[in-house]
Amino acid sequence: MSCSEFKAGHPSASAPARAHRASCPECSLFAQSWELLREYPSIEPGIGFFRAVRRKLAPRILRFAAGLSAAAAALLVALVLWHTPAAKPDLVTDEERELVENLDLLQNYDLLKTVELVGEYGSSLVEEKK
Amino acid sequence: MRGLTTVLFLATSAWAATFQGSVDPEKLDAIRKMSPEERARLKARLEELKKLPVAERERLKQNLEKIKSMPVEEVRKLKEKDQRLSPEDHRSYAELAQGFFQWIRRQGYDGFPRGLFFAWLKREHSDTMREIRDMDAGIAGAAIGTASPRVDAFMKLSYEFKDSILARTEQHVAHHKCASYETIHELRDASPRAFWPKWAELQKDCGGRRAVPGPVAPRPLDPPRKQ
Repeated sequence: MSCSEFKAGHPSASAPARAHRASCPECSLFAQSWELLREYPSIEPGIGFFRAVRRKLAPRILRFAAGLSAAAAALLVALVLWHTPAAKPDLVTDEERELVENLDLLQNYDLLKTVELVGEYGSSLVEEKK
Repeated sequence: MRGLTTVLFLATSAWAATFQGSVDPEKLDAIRKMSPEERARLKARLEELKKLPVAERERLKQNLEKIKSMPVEEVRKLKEKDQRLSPEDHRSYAELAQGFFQWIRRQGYDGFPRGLFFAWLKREHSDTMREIRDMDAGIAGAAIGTASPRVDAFMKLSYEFKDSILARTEQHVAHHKCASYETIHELRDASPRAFWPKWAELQKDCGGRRAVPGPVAPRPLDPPRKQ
C-alpha cells in the first residue's frame, strides 16, 4: 500500500492499512493528527446561523415579501379585532335568528299583504296634466 | 414565512367565522326587549309566513322593498290606512292582491305595476272592483285556462289598463319629449308580456331625466314700454 492510497482510504481498519501505518512514520503522524481532531469539543452553530444561511439562499423577492406579509398579517389581525360584532352569534337561539331575519316582514306583515290596494300609486308617465 | 402564512390563514378564518351566521345586533336587541305578548304575536306571524306559498312570500318581499324605498311619513300614512280597514276588508284586499299577483305571474307580466293598476281600478272602476271582491276567489287554485269569473274580469281589465296606460304615456311623451318616436312605436306594437318591461324601462328613463334639471327656456322679452 502506498502513502497516497493510505491517506485516501483513511480512516480504515483493514489489515493492509494497519500494516502500512505501522511501517510508515509519515502516515502514522497523519493518522494521529486525525485522532487529535476527534478530541476537540463539537462547535455549536450560533443563534440565527441557519436562518442567516436560509436568508442568503432565498431569492431577493422573497426577502421583500416577508416584510410585506408581516405588515399584511398585522393589519388583518387589527381589522378582525376592530370589526368583531358585540353580539356573539353563538348566544342566539334559532327562533331569535329567524325572527331577526324576517323582522321587517313581520313588523309590516299586515300592510304588506294589502299595500297594492291601500297605497296611492302614481307614475310620472301617466300623471294627469294640470 | 411559514409562520406568517399561518397567521394570515388563522386571521382570515377567524374573520370569516365571526361574520358567518352573525345577526343584526340592533334587531336582536329589539326582539329581546319585546314583551312576551308582542314576541308571541311575532312568532305567530312567523309561523303564518312560513306556511305561505313561495309566490306569496315573494310578493310580500317585493312589497317590503317598495315600502322601504318610500319616505317614512308616507309609510306611516299607509299603515294608518291599512289599520282603518275592517278585518273583512283587510282579508278581502289581501286575498285579491294575492290572487292577482299569482295571475300576473302566470301570465308572465314582469314589471306589471300592480299598485298603479289597483289605483286605476279604484278610480275608474270602483263598481267593478267591488264586484270582483265579491266574486269567487278561486283564482289561487285555478290552473291556466280555467274559467273563473275573477280571472276573466282581471284579464279584461288588464287589457283596458294597458290601453289606458299606453294612451297616457303617448300623451306624456308628446309633451315631455322623454322618449323617441321609435320607442313609443315599439311600445304600441308590443305584446302584453313585452309591454310592461318596456314601459317600466321608459318610466325609469323618464324619472332619470326628471332628476336632472334641464336648461330653462329663456323668458320672453317684455314688450317695449310706451312712453
